[in-house]
Amino acid sequence: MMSFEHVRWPEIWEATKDTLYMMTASLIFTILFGLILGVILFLTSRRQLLQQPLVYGVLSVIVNILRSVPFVILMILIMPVTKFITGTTLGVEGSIPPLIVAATPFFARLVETSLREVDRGVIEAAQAMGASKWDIVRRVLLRESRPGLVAAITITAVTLVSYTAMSGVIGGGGLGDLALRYGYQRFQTDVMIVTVALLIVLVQLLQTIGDVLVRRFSRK
Amino acid sequence: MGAASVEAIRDVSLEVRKGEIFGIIGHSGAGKSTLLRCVNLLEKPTSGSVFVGDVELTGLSEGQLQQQRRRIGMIFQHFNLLSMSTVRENIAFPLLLAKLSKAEINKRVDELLQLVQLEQHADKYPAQLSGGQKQRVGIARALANNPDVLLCDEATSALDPQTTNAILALLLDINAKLGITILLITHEMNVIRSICDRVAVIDQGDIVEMGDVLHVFLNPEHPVTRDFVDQVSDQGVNGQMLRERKGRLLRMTYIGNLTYEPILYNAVKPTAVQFAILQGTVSRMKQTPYGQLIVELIGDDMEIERVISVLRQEGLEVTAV
Repeated sequence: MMSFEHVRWPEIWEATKDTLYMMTASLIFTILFGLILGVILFLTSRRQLLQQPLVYGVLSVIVNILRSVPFVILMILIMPVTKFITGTTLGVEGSIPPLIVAATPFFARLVETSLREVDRGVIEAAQAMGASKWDIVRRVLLRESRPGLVAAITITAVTLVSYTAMSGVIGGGGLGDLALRYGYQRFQTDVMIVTVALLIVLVQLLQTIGDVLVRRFSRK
Repeated sequence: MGAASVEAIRDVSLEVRKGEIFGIIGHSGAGKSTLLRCVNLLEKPTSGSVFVGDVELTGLSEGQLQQQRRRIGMIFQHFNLLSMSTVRENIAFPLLLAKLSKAEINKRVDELLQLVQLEQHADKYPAQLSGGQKQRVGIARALANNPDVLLCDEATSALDPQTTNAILALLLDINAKLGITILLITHEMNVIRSICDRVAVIDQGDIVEMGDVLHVFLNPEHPVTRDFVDQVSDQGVNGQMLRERKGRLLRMTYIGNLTYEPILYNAVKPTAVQFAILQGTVSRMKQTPYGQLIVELIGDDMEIERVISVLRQEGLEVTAV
């Protein structure tokens, strides 16, 4: 019979709140930056409205580099930047900048892919009606790709949950931190199980909400 | 745009008159779609100029071009509606771009919904509509800003014949009611015959024949034009069979009210000449009835000549085959 003697629920609750906070805060910034980056990637790519092979090439390489660095290493690499922005590399605040830096290129690629799914004919129709490029981005691209964007946000949110857990390695905070300090370093398996269970529940919840929203937005 | 430029059309000069329905017909790949897109500069010609009314579109800045495009409506083969927007929102889209007030937009959208008879479908999404209904939304959207010109890019090619006729009737009605100039491209002669005043036949980037539909239709000269005319005429007898006939073969063409007169019968009655109708079309082009027959006249040469001159006096065009 498993006992949960080491589990201190108030601490678990605090860690859960930290995880949610890290995830939400970094998700908001990731959506903001990633949407802008994704739209720029899309517009500057071949045969699109602002076709700019050089801009696209440079951005694409940067995105690929950031995506190829494992998150654990990225966190350590950008510590000076993190320290400059938040004043610390530790705790909840210290994990948010690396989370954003890691998730933004990932989300931007998903945005780019979603925008590519938009029917070219619809963009052409908007141009024929006298829409400016900004009109097309705002009223056609972002609107037509809404289900895809919601799905992309869901995937990113789930990815961020697992990243927050990893940030425990450098003293990040949250459920992952708890799992590492108690579950791994002090062999308190019960704490490990509780934190992992909570992470699973959180991911399930996010995915379900995302799926419901995608279904609500789909018109096809 | 791309690295290599392809010469899709060259040396094309086309003047469409205000208020007319002008059709461009060609096989796929002939360059008709490119030509149509040059009118609102969705496709930028490498040389030459485009005028709509008195405005030279090819000389405008990006912003000015956007303004001018609002005077040119366009509908598409695949409708190109915003799938995430309702019928009402789709029709409101160009009005939103023109920065009309909410009240003005609602009023105008209601008018347009009524014009294309989609009042009951205002809050549906495109996926819930039939092809014909989608094209009606397309038409309403194209007309929203009261354009002077309507461009139709294979607007009926994705529709079944019945729906095609309904959409063509709507276009004809709009042309008559609003006086809007319509420029359409198609590969279906039926579309040209039903609603166009003038037609240009395009082949491999060149206009090979152009003129009043009736004239081009009844006297096709270029092989491509003949192909298209054959699409809608009834080919009862082939060339081989015609050559084997012994009598005099004549093509008779009549237009307008002549179509309904017993002219041929009256012409042969006083003579001993007999006739056999080997091939024929009696139909209607836009509002004009017309007929074209291939007739074999059998009898005395002198009498046949007399019959022919009577037919010509009555106004028929008679030529030897």
